Amino acid sequence: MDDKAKKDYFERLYKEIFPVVIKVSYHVTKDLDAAQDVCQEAFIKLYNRLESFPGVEDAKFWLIRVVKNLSFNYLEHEKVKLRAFDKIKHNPSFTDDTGEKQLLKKDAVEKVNQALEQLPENLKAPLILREFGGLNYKEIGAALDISESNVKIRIFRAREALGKLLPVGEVYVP
Amino acid sequence: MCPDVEILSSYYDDELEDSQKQLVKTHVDSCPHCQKKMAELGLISASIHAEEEPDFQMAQMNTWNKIMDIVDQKEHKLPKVNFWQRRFQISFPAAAALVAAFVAVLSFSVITFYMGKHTTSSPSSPELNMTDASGAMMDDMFDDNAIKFDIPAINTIINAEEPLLIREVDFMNRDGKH
Amino acid sequence: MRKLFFAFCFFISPLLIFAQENSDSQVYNMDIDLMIQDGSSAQVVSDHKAQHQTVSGRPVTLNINGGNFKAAVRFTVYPIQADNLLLLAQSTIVFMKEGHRRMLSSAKSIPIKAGEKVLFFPMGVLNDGDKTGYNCKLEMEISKYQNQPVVQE
Repeated sequence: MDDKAKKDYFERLYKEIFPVVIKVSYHVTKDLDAAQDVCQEAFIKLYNRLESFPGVEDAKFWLIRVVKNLSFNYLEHEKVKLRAFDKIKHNPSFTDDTGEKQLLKKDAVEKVNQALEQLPENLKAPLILREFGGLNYKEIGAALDISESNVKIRIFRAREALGKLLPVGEVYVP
Repeated sequence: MCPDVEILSSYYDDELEDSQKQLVKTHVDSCPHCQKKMAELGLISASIHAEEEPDFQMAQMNTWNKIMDIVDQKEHKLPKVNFWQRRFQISFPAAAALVAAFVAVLSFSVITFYMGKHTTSSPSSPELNMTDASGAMMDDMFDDNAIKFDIPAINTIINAEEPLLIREVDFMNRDGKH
Repeated sequence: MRKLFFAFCFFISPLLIFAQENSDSQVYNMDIDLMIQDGSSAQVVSDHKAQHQTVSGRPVTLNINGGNFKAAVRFTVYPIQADNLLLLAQSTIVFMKEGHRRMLSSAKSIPIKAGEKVLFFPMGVLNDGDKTGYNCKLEMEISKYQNQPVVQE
């Protein structure tokens, strides 16, 4: 592959895959700068072994896996660093001034997202790839190197865990 | 009778084989219990999508620049390809969404202007202060891009009960009147 | 102004259709009717309509300024399957009660069908026991955006 062809091919892959992986990385790390760093590192790795991938799909799934690993690694390092500050970080801050402020009931959206942050990696990764990466079960399986059936079960379990926080009641979410 | 929730989860993701999908669809269409399950799945998705996302377009451009810097450095390429000379294409859905958002914002301003002619705001009630002591807005939902409704001040409006979101048909049944 | 508005809609409709055909996001039309109703007689003392287009996942925010209360309501639509949609209603209200400023936030959701009318009461509904006062009611109808010329009323 000559230089120009390689750059063109790489650019094509980048435009196709970046939107997917930046979203995935962001929703794992919750930090855009970290997500950008992760994606940058992953794409440079891709560039360095571009010729080794038989096709676009192989490159894509490999890249997604790298981004996933780097993102969760980042999260682990951050957890260690911020363990002391976690309590402050997750406390809903309602400083009062002139009047009383009451949260009618804790926002379900907030609850579900906190639960998502706390999901173990094996459940969180497939769900995020599905919801934010837009990948189907087969693609997720290829990216994570697990069976389609496994993907299905893990996504279901992830949703069960998040769904526990929703009320049993019909119409509304308190 | 009802399929496993695991199957509903796959159905929700449109991952069932056609034959099974049709069976599940037929069942769900007439089963309130399964419909509620589907709604819960929808709500979970909605909740995790509800948080605002940063600008990924900018991230895409910035990261590309950085990658090219590193790649070109390694290959001792001079001069560096001027980023601005590249045609950086935005994906079509993104472009369409941007255009739609742009015209939507313009439409709102038109709607707001049109609406403004038919409303009167009461000058007599003290203006509710929306900011806290530090001057920061208390909630980002009170912003300039919202559709604005000004209604006459009615001092006895506040009951502050639990907000209610309900289908009109269900409300009529429960209330018996309009 | 009205002509300009409709001309505008007509002009942008091809773009919105284009967006619909070429992206995963379904465009929705929201018909919104804000009504202030007397609690006991149900007489409507104030009525405001608005119409807005959005796509799934993109919120529509309304700011209601009532003098002694302010409400911000954010609606977001998500497709579940076919014509089944999930409507998420987040609200924040600020009001004066007994000389104090109060703020309440909430999030509600409901599964609905496209075209079905749904009501949202950001301040709740007056109790059966005591109907003095007013209800603030938002009547909404969410439909899938159709490729039709805008009808002049």
